[in-house]
Amino acid sequence: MAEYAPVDLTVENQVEFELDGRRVAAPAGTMLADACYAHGVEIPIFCYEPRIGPPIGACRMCLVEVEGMRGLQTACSTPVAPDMVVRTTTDAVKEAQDGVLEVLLANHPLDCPVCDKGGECPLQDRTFKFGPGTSRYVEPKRHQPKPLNLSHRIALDRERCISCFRCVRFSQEVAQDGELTMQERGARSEITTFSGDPYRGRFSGNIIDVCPVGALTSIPYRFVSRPWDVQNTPSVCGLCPVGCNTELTVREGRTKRVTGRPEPNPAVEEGWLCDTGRWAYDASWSQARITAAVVREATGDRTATLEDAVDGAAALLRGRTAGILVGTAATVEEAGIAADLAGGALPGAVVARMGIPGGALAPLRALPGAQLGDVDDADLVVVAGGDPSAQQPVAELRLRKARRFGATVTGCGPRPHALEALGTFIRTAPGDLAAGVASLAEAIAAATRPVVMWDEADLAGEPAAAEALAAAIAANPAARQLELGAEVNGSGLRALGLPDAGAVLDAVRAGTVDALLLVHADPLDAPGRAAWDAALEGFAGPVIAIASHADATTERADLVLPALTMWEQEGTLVSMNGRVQRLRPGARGPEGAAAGWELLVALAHRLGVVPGYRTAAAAFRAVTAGRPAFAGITPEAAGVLGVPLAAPAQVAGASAPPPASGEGVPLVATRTVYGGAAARRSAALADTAAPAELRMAPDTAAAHWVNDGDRVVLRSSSGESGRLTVRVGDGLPEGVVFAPLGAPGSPTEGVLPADMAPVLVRVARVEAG
Amino acid sequence: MDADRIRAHLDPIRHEFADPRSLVMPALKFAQTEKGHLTREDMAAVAEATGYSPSFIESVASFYDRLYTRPVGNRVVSVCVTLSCMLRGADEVWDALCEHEGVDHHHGGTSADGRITIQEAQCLGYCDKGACIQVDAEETKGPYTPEEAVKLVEELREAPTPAELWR
Amino acid sequence: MSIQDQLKGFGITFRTMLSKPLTLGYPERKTPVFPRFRGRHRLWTYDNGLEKCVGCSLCVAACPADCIRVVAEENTPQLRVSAGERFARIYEINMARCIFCGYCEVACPFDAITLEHSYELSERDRRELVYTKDMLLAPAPKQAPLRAEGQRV
Repeated sequence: MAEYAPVDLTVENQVEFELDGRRVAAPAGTMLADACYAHGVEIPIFCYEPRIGPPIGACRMCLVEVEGMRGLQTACSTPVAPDMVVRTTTDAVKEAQDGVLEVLLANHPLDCPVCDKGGECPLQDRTFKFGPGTSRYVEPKRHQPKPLNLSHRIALDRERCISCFRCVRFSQEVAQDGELTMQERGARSEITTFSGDPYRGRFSGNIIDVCPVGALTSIPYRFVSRPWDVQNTPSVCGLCPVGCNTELTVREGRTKRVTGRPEPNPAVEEGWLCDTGRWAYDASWSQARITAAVVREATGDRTATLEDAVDGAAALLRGRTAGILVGTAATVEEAGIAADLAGGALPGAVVARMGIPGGALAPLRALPGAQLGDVDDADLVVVAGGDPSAQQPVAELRLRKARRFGATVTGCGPRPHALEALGTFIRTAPGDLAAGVASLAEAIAAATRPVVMWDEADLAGEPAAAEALAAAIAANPAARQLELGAEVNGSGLRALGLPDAGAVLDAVRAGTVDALLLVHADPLDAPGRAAWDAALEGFAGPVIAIASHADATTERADLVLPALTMWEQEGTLVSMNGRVQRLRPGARGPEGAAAGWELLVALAHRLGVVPGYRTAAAAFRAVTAGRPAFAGITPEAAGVLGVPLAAPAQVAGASAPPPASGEGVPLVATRTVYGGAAARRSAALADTAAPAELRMAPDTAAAHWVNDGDRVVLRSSSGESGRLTVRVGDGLPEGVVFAPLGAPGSPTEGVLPADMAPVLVRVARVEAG
Repeated sequence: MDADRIRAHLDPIRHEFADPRSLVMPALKFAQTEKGHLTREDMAAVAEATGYSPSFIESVASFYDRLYTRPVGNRVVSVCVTLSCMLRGADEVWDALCEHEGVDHHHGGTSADGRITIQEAQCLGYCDKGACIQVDAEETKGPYTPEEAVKLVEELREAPTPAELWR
Repeated sequence: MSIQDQLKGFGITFRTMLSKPLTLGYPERKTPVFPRFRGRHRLWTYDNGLEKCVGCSLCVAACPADCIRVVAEENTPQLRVSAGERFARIYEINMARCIFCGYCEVACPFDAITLEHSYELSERDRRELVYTKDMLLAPAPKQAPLRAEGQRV
């Protein structure tokens, strides 16, 4: 169980002590509860949760007898000491355990049959294993109205709370949102937010996972199933490039819940998930889901069976030179098979990936890389550009943890964000990240174990800053870099050697391709959208889209093949810092859909070239063969926790973007995981949807003759945006405007170039607020 | 009460507290002087003035009996319900007072005329004089029978202000 | 074969014709069952009409034949079905798979399900053997007679 800290019993100089008459050893400083668990003795705990922070000894469940110490000791907060004599099964210990459980259950309702935690409840399990079996309390129990909605997604049943403080400590110490506290005292203690306001947090769902009773439960999962009705599948989240390890709870073919793994991945997410990753799963059966193949004909749209649609796709592609565009969320298998088509079934096809070309980032990526878990032992964490709290959610928790552990946090960037409170942050002018990087170089050189987090999107647009940062990191041999990526599987696509989308765009413009195959690619909703709009305007050839959800591109496609989502298909994703991890199929997906890789394999069959693989694992081996980044990496080696790439995910020959030109005010765009496309498709996250807002400081608004609430469009040298609502806010830097990427209708993407080069925009009001 | 007034009150005494968290108590006590209890806005102001989260401030305010998060009457009558007093009939005193003032028997409360608030108190250190009652956090007396307690409350209702009564 | 043997045989025939038969004339007459006979399931309601079942799925966990399916939902003030917080929106028993072990009855914390005496469960289509909640809440359409104390058939 994750509740105990893992203990490394292989280190040297361990402390020897006696445990129930056995001579055992554990590293100095290990808490007794963890040491005992490592030696096969389970000490019951409720409040102890090493991931949250130091023990507080609130529940008194872990009492053990230690020779020479008066009374019983709490094993969760007593470190092992040399020649300590510990007894965990004596009568005194048993009596204490009975007593504690009897008191905990004095007010705990016995409504286990209706409780969602029933069957996977630590209180239930430990009462069964360590409890007295009976109770002397005959008085009526405390009753409270139930349940209370702590937020739209979390239900609080105060009767069931045993005041272990885990959720409060998570909120105060791990997420540091300051929302949850224990109010009142004694028997009236209750968990609540300020004045009972809804719990607003980016990581609020984790309190459900840490709750040892059924006091905090997920509202979307409320009464949906019981632990024995479901299959739990360890998988990976594919909504952002962090690559958190998740567990899918599947009942009757549908994903009913996503939780952190009971055995978390210490190198990535440590068991914590962001709210989007936790609750966006209902997007897999949302309105926008494509459940059957769509064929667009002159007479109108019609749906087709999968067989007919694949036949149709093959017929459309046969004899043509195809451009194949692979989306950033496509798996390694999908991208690799698509690339394979160019060599066989679709000779001469041009295959490229969506996303940032990143030619300027090569020197940074070549430096020694760190995993997210390495941030814990850093003495200095630098955040160069970006906003991890919005773009790479769980990286935020790692930063906060490093800060708790005493690391210095510093950084620079053009946008204000939530993590600036953790340390000294230098606000740079847009397009001048290099100035910020220069002022950080000294700190990086002076630190003993620095980790430098750098934002892919921000640094890709500023080659000078990337170069300076690479030099600063290279100057300190102990320093490691950690990429804060922008794309879910960007590293995987680069590691396969796919060139950037410009290759296909140029071919479309030049007319050298006369068909387009889009694999989870949505160029009409991505940065650089304007160029694609123009190129597809005059494109006469067929456009075939393999997609799971309807978007701007599937609207334009002549044939849409319904694909499975990340909750339903098998595949491999490479996280932003190059960790190869496996998606495992949990749910079944709609009847008329198939995994993207299966569709591509079927297409190859129809086109008369039979590929040498039939399973996703075999496809992975075949498509990664000969790629240095994937050397030695097999599906088996990736296992449950994943492995780092063997070499940096680089693509040679990508170009670096030019500096901003034209006139206007600089635009800083932030890709947000909260309220992005996946969150919008999810009913559970409906209230988090990010509005399409253009934020600016008061004087900047005045300079552009716009007021709060006005509807505006932006124009840049790359194109024109959709409509945005002006929000004037204090505390924002002057002379710059901020807009979200991934807002409904993707308005901002229209003004941005695909290479994320800095842009200057002119603000035009189209409607007064 | 706004955060600036609270800050002005805290500034001269700031140096007396080694841990800045300790400033929360004087801040809350000061904020309470305005209305006699703490409103949501008062607690938000204390949070702003002290730099802690509003929910933390509310948790402190709800912990202490003398910090009121709901409006209270002119006189606050605290009945000790801890063991010694309970054994000497505190429950009967409590019930009699709640009955008399028409307030909830579980949580106490303020009488309809807004004059008297009945609340529970934990041990007031008058175990030898149980069942004891404390009025306005000023003076504790005992022992009380239910009848005597009701009489005390009636007297308190007539008495105009605490200052005059206890002078 | 002698005539004697033939008479012996007819003797048995005539004797049996006159004695009471061991078989019953089903379906006109039905075999009475013991009080603890486990037959068709029944879901129960309280006197006020609320269902006893809260949809906890413990019967599903206990069922060795995996023949029960429960999908629960939350009671609302507009739609209050059971006495607890949740109720079974779907409660199905696949009688084709049920082995009538009675574990569901043992597992039920609210005595909501019991195995009754009715044993006439055959259908012409196996899909009709999936009993829904409405069917289980109603009394069995074909009741079986109960065996009286000391009764022999």
